[in-house]
Amino acid sequence: MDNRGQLLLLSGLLIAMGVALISLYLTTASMSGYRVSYSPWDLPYYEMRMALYESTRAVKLYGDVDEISEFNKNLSKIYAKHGYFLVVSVSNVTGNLYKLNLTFKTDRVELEVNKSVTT
Amino acid sequence: MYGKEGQMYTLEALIAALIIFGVVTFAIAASPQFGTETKEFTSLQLKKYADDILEILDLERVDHKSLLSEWVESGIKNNNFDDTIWDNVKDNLRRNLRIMMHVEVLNPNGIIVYSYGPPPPEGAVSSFRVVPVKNVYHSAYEVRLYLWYV
Repeated sequence: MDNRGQLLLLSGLLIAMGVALISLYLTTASMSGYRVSYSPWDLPYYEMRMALYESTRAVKLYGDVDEISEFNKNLSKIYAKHGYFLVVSVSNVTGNLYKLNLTFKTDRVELEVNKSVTT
Repeated sequence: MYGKEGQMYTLEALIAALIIFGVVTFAIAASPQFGTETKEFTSLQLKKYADDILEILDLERVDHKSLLSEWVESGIKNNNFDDTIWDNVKDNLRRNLRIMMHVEVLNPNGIIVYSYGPPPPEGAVSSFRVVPVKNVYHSAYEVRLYLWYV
């Protein structure tokens, strides 16, 4: 009974350690899922999308390179106040076709977009 | 207390400890969880609300203007901003989500030309929108929206 009793204790301890390891693994797995699902929030998606949306809209609204450039200059100034580097340039290709170039930078992301806009 | 008897006592103690641990774990898991919304999560939620509010108000119409850009343009031109655009938003946020808001319109030099609602407390979350306007002094104005929980 002495030997059997020791084995019983040992197996009990091993099972307890196994349960502890499994619970630790599951907790880590769920935490990493949580972190992965929230990490995209750190990127300024909204600000990037807005920059492209507003600069495209400005081309259609003004329809004049000087006025569009003036808007883009102000847009860059406002973005700079929020800590973003944004430069938008526009050129008139033909008639109502414009070419838009947008560069957006932060310490974590760099984005360059070339887009054709028809007014 | 040696040999078989000692082992039985040890085993008994281990089983007792496991039972207590199990009961405590079950009780904690079953009890209602308070304070699960971390500060970070709350800020993300407020930022999303603020982004969505500004985005919806700034949806482009056929004339390439929006409710927001027209409101800014008219406010700058007449030197008088119409508050009603924000009254409904403020009431809805406060009644349904217990959120307070503050709005500012700034020119590109960062000067506030319009302000609405109580001043935002420290920790309020903000979002901004740059709206293109025509026939006013600056071609772009910033609309900044601050949100915070009551």
